Amino acid sequence: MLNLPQPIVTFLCSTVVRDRFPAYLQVTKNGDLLSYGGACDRYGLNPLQLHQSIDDQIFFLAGLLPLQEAAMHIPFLQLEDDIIAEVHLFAEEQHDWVVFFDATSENEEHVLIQQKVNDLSLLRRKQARSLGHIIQSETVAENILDIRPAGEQKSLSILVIKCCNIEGLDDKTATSNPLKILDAYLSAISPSILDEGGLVHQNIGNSIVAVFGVLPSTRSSSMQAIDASVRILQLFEERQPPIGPSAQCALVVTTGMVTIGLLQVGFGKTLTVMGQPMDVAVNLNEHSIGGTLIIDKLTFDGLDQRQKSFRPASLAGSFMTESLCLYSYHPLQ
Amino acid sequence: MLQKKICMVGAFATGKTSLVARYVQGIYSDKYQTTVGVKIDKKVVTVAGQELNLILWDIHGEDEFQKIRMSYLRGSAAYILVVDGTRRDTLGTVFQLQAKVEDTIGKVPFITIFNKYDLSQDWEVGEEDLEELSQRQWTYCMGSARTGLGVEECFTKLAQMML
Ligand SMILES: Nc1nc2c(ncn2[C@@H]2O[C@H](COP(=O)(O)OP(=O)(O)OP(=O)(O)O)[C@@H](O)[C@H]2O)c(=O)[nH]1
Ligand SMILES: [Mg+2]
Repeated sequence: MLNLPQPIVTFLCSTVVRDRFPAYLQVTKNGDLLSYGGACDRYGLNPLQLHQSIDDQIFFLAGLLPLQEAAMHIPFLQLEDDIIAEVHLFAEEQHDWVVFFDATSENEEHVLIQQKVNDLSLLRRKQARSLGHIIQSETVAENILDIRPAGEQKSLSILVIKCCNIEGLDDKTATSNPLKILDAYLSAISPSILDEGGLVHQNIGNSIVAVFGVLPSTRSSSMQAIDASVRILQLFEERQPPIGPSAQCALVVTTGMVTIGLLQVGFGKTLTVMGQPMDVAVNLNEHSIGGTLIIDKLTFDGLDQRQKSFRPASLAGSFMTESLCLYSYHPLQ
Repeated sequence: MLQKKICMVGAFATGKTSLVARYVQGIYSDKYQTTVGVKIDKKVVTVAGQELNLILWDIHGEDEFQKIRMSYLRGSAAYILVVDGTRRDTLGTVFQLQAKVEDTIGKVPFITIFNKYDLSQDWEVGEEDLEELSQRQWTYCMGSARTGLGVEECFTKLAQMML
């Protein structure tokens, strides 16, 4: 066996194999049970009757035997109550074999991860759907966003996106529906934010505020915010509908400590972000012009080679700029 | 007794497990507990005077990380495509899955259920979607595992299609 010395084989058999409660069935090509053994009880495989149809005894095998492929693997199969079996089926010339292992604890681990993934996907959808009313319940906020409802200090990156020169938005003709147009823009932009791990925090007029660093990520919040920004700039360059021919976006990213928490607003809870980075971002955004991405020093410091695409900049008109060290985005050719 | 294997397929969190729980045990929970792998249930029904043992394969949802293994579908007498009516993209998932299933096991009866019909204010599936289904000559129904509306009818309809 794989050239393993006997003590190893014995060890493996007595631990890895035995502890997983193997059981087996041998089934003829006509579908009759020829023999069985191992921990059949554990999987609820009883009482078993030899030389009788397997389909009538073990329901899940109905239609699977005789095997059409050489082998089949079901990593997690739940038959009885709380036991999850890993099932291997394989064919030999005269008969098919079905082997069971206990996979209950592996299944538990998978479920934990998959549950988080699915919950996050659903949350992401909800957000994309209703900008602003992100957090539906306190439990979601605590379990998934890791926010203490009482509020806490956290270092986050804030991205403010202002959409300018949108056709039809200032149009006062009866045919155009400014809300619908704005909604189309916001819906086109929000996936870039969500895909980079950000949250759409709120929208004010034709600006969107997004926050990065609330959800866990392997990248710094600055990198997430910059990656989202670059995607949004590209979106406006490509001019796929609904982005119109003259529309532009002005982006600002700031980073720093803010207080985040959940505020009871009306009947629901709303994510609240307070602090200087938020004020600065909103102020800078007011003064920035279409097609630009401006970031502050802390955001710049949180970048890796992405720094190469930024140059020191100043912003005319903003009283805040004198004291601030700013950078603007110039994509590398 | 005649055994009929029926698979539940669709995107994650569309309500496959809930529909089976409603149909077999008559129970429902709002708590979402995802299925990893396959869960087998059975129910004996009488259709047109004939007793059938329905073996229900509740298969995990299709997503980026867990692709449905088509070999699970082997031996199915029929299958149920589950769409979450409040998430229109789950209809797209079902279109893709149906093509793969048919590739693997050929033409067997199937029915599409638009689940979560109780959430009509969040409904995303439109008239034009239903028209597309009609054009494809797919049988479909509206249902809600939560209220029980349409669930029994859906399974019964499918059972009749199998006979
Ligand atoms: N409102 C409403 N919610 C439903 C309905 N059916 C299911 N749900 C909810 O939707 C969520 C997912 O339901 P499940 O039955 O676990 O979905 P599933 O398709 O088995 O999900 P996976 O196993 O992850 O693929 C749960 O929170 C259910 O309570 C319904 O008819 N109406
Ligand atoms: Mg399930």
